[in-house]
Amino acid sequence: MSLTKSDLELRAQLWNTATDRIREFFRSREYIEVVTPIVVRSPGMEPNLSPLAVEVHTDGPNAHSTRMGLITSPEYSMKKLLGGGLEKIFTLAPVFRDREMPGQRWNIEFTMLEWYSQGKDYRYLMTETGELMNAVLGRNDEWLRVSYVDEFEKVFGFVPHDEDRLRLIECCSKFNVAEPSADEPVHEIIDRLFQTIIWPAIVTKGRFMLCEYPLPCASLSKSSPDGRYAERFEAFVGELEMCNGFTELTDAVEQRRRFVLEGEERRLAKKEVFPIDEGLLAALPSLRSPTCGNALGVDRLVMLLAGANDIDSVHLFPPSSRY
Amino acid sequence: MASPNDIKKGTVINMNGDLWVVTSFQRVSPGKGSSFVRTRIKSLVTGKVVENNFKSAETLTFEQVNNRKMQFIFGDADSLTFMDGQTFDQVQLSRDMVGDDAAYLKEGLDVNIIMHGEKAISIELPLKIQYVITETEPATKGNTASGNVLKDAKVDNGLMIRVPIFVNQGDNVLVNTETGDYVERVAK
Repeated sequence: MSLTKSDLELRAQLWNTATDRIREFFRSREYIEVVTPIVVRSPGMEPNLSPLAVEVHTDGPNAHSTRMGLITSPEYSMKKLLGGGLEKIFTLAPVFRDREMPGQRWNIEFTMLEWYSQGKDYRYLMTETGELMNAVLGRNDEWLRVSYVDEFEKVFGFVPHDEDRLRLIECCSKFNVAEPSADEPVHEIIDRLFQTIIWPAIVTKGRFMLCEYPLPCASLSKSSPDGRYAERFEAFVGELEMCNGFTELTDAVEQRRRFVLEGEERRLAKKEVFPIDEGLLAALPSLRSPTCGNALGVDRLVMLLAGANDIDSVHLFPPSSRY
Repeated sequence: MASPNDIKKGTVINMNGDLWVVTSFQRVSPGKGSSFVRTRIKSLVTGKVVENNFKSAETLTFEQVNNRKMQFIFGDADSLTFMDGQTFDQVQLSRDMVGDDAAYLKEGLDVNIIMHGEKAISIELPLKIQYVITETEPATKGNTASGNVLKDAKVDNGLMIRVPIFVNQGDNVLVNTETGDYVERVAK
């Protein structure tokens, strides 16, 4: 069954409105829009993501084939541009994540808005993110801030770090949360405790930014000066996660350590391990500290604009029936 | 052995010998963290409802259940009655067991009744159901820039939904039964 003309027009208009407003917002703040590669050698190391791998064949005298992947986020290329001296950049990029379940809130391919600003940190970024979403949605909402480590400490009595595995296991048994297996990474135990015990009370807050993650859940964010938390946040509208923002890690040594750990986690999970992006590590030391960056799912923003609960409702080609 | 990623509405999970039926589920993948399946499950013994998060990597035991295609025939304050169109067998389910799905039922609608042995435990609705709009404001042209996109509408079984403002009374529309979203207008 194909959509009627009025449904097609509405969906196209929703995307036009969202992308026009995004571009207006960043241009008025002197960000430069950039275009970054989609097919890359190092599509991402995150243990829970599955990049789509492709075989690329170049022609000509140097004809050869290369195992590459479609980006799960334009992050690595964006940071190379920052290393090259660009101060404030944004991009609207198609990104690809295999092994997602199309429909509801997910799709195999979606549109990512990423932006970076040198000289600014995650607190500034939280304010800017709220302003951006309000501008796109034509609203004037307060975005409540909720500190992950503060909430965790209130309930469990401590701020978790890598060496707290035993205490975390004790918490699981005390709070009746399923016991971790021997190989479950610390960040997953923390997140499971948080999701099971703390999350149900937080999710009722409506529009909020969950910030200041435990260090084992830092991802590519920088540690706070006192080592209490990672300077990371995610914005939520109820259950719907909108973005993932950081004060970016600019320490190439620490970044390499995390890539190696993540590669190892991928190997254990029998996932393809793509090569570490050496160009990214080479660019990191040239970034100013702090530098902040955020990745926001545009499809979900369009869902909010449309008042839709299902990603299918905002696409001209609904994802759940495409694969 | 099954994975939490295989959970659907109506799946019956055996946890240490106790049987729980999944009444709703949502996959949660916190950005660059591990993923979960957040479920609301109901005990088949006590009727108690709890929330439970399953790690995607966990292994679960599902109970064998059977689907029986039946038509919804009527509901009263406490229960809902369905009939097998071939054998004229009827089954009843309490409104409590069916939960929010009851709002989507209309007379004659085909649904799957999920049977555990001889017991009806849950229903599975079609993902999309067609309704006729019975009440809504007159249609106007949409304007996404002013945020003027949706309006309230009532459909032929009394369900209230939100529809785009170009939709008219008398239009046929499809509604997503997982989210309550308007899906599309059906061409006449």
